[in-house]
Amino acid sequence: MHVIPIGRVEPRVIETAQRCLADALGCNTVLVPAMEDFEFAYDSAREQYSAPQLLQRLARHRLANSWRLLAITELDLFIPMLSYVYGQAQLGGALAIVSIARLRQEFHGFPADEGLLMVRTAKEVLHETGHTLGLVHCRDETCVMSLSTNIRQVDVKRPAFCVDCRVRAVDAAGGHRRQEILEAGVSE
Amino acid sequence: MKMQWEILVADDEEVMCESLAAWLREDGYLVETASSGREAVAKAREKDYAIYFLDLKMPGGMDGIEAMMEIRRLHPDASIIIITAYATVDTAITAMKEGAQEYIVKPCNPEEISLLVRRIIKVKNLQRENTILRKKLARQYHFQDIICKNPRMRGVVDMAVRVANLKSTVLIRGESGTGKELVARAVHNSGDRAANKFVAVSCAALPEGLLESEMFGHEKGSFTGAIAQKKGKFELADGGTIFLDEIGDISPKLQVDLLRVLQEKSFYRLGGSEEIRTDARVIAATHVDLEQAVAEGKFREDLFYRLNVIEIRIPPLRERRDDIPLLADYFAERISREMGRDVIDISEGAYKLLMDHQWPGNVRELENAIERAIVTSKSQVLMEDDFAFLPRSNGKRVWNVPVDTTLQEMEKQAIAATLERTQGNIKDAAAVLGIDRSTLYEKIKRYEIPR
Repeated sequence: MHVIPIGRVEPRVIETAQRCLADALGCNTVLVPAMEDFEFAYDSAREQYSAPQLLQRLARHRLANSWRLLAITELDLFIPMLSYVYGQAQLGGALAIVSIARLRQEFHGFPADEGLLMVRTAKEVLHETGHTLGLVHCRDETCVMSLSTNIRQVDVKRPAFCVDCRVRAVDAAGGHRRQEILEAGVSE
Repeated sequence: MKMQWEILVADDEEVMCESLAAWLREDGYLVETASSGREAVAKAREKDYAIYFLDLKMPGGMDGIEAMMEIRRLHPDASIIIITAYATVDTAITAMKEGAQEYIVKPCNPEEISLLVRRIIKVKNLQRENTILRKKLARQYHFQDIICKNPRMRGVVDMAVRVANLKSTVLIRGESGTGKELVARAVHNSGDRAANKFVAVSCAALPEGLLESEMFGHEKGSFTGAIAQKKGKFELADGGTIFLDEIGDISPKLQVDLLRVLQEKSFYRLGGSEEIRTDARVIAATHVDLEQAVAEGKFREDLFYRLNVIEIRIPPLRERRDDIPLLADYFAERISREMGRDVIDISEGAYKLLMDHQWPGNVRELENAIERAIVTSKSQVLMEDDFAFLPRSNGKRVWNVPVDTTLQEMEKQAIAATLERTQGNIKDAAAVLGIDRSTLYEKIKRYEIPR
């Protein structure tokens, strides 16, 4: 699995993403050079970036041998119908994007809290990766696949899949990867 | 299997349509899109969606409000959400007056839209549950309640549809648990007698005397304990349908009485002298081989022909195995809903086990098995272990001669089954099949049989 920053992203955030993927899904990840061409997705009226457009461009950065490509960015994302999203993924596809802009305490008018930011990052990374594995939202609000439309809901869930979602994630990863993920030792 | 709700999103801007659709799909809904009001109406004509998102401004001669009015003509209870880029009081009032459930301005807060969708779906779930419970309560089954895709079973349904409006007597034959009463109720409810009563009598449950009084009624004092006049089922079913289940079990005397009713359309109550006319349509059912019973002198031949005007034969479940997954999904969804459980899937292994089982108790046994599995299962997915109570066939399958298959296909099945029994041992399999090893190898290769 490959991880790509869009624009500048703090190394600790990237490390957190890689570690949680290894811990929860047994995915070893490879960091690829950042995607710097993102301004085309800027909407000046909204002062935000279009997640569908970035996702589309991301396809060009996907290497031929890449199983999944997860992008992480500081940019604040939207989809045309909604005022913001924490991330977006191709359901059952290869691409996903996570924004940490609204995961920061500063965004909500509180003092910065790096520990909290890392936990929230891990949750959203697993959530969007789960969508690429075909998982839809889980009704267990403590499962990382539960829907979060506000930061409170992000904080309620744990940075882990519930038992059912984990089985599904492993099943969806499928074929030759199934056993590897079960044994928590996927290597790219 | 959890029922997946379908949502339609209509917007002329593709990116708007697709991004909302993708976002809703992540929430587990099946989402289709339309790029104009006309397309949305055309899709609504094909099927009803749980929610319609319609953009107010769409080109092509039909805007969101007009599309909404058309959709509401097709589905009066449709839940429609009008989307607009500009909020004006006038358009909001028009939209709500014409029956929009909600009116949202884009871009919309994700929390607001998710609450809105969940609120509507919650109501839809309750409505659906209510329909299931009412149906169960009234047992008003229709042909769409007969779950099948098997060609033979489809033939049964087609036949039943054709005879629904006739007055002719129907004889439904099939093993226990194949759903004979369900078919009878569907025939009744789909015909022109639906407004009148459907009266079921189980002929096997009662001794002769009681059954006679049950069917034809009695006058006060006609026998000890007859303290008041009682109407019989034939009288109650006047204008409707009387369903005589297990007809093969009735006594010779009752056979004569029944023959008379079928011929004369009239009868006397027990101990009564007044002739009572009845216009009840008779549907009889049996699991007994009536021809055999006639040959043995246990069942009157004239009654048999009177009953067997239209014959519907329901195949046992093991002869329509392709319906097993469909039925299993249907029962899992219905039962988990009734029990307030959250079973959303059946694993591949469990499907295979269900497909392999012989089901001597047919659909009823399958329904009970699913119910038992749901009660004992701890997860949302029914696994093989949840069906551990089903007796294993030990690899020894009962051979049912398939009637609609080629000789080649039968040969392939015979080879595969034998190999399974010999655990892949070619020598043993060849001996059992009575062919030599090289021929067996050649056939395994030709039919691509996995070993």
